[in-house]
Amino acid sequence: MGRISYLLREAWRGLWHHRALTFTAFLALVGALLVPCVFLVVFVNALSAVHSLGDRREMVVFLRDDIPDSTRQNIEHRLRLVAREIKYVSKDQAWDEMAQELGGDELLRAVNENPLPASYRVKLEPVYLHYSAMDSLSQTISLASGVEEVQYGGLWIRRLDEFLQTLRTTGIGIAAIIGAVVLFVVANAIRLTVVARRDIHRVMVLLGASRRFVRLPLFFEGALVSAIAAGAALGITYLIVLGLANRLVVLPSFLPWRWMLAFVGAAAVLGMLGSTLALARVGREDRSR
Amino acid sequence: MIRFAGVSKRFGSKEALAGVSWEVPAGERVVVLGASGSGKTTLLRLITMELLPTAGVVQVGDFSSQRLSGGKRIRLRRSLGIVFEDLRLIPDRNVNDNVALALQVRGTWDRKRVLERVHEALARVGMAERGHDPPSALSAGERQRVAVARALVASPAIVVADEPTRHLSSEPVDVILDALRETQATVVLATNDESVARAFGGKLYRLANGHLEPAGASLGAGATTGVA
Repeated sequence: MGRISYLLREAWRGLWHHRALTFTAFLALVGALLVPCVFLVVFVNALSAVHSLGDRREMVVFLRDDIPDSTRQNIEHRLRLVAREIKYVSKDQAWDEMAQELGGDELLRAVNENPLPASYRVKLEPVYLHYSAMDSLSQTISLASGVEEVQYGGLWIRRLDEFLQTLRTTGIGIAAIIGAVVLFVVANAIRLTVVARRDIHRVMVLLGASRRFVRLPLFFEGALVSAIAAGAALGITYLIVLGLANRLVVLPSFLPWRWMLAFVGAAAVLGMLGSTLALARVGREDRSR
Repeated sequence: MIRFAGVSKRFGSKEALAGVSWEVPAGERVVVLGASGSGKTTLLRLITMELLPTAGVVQVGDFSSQRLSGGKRIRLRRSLGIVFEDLRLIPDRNVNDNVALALQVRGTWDRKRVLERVHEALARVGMAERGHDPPSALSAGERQRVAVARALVASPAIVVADEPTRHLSSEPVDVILDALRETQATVVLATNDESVARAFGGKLYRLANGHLEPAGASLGAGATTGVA
């Protein structure tokens, strides 16, 4: 009868002994945990979409005509410090590209000389792929000698950043509310278990059990019911995603394994905290008697 | 060793024990005989320090009622084997698990060792075959025997038995008395049945009106009294 198997058996015994109460708490926990679970799936998909958009985030540095090679090299050198990929597009290449896009060079032939500037197309290091960094970089680069203009799609990048920030803030809010709900549900369920098993705990204490010996199974009980509820919430969310997959053009992806483990782990920790609250409350009630 | 020095215990206006001074040397067997309500259970609960005296000092081994921290109380309880008057078996554990609990609270977790000792203790009271039964499947007398096995399984230094034959109806008393007698521990047995007291043997005390008095000469171990 190893210590861990004893703890798990005791926890299970407690849950089984009050199975009606356990089931009610379990349903409440699954309902509560479904909300962050669905949100996490939305968040993961949004994050993945944002990252794929982010990969396309590009800064274009237009150069003045007829700058000496040394100035161009100087600009290129400075850009390489912040870029993970850089491409030089000469005036002629820009001309060819435009001609290709317009489907012929008849219109361009009307212009006497090539009006298009040479440019650098810069894919930045991930650390710079947000509005404030790109805005600051563009201002710095545009001041460099030989630079005509810097374009980076500031408005939509700012909107993307704001969207991500809103998702994060909403996530924190949901986590806080659901955390409180889980604590409340587990604390009450465990409190009722403690009260119902008070006589048994007294016998244990008379036989020489320490507080830890009596209480540890109750922590496991809180953790176990919360972790199982988190697993059930994940399962239900997975079925929802499967259902949606048949109706949506873009196949939504489910949570990565690490996220799922973290979700179940976080629920278990909340369950333990709920048990702690319950035991503290029962202790206060006992002392006030 | 158990020592009571001028111990009184009051419950409101009722004085359950009045200035009891008493000493039980280590390894001795004593019987406290008294009528129902005479204070036997109070006396035993003072030994287990489930209760503390209103006046005087109780000393059990190295533990004194005057300086009893939470940790000391736990260590004291681990040195005791207690047979409760109301048995206090845990209903949702089988017999093996009930008896094993006394070892587990003392930190013995090795599965094989625990089961061996549990089996041995149950065999001493003739219950080895009922290890997997829940208490609800046992007769009152069988539950009593399991409670005795739980008190003895950890080889405690002191055994405190409150009416350990009370629930026996058709079963022989000797099984329980023999098990208690064979232990090397100091044994304090409280009963209201004089025949049980004489059958158990050891030093006899009478408790009446809160006063504990020696009842003549020691009784021979296992004196024949016709108790069955």
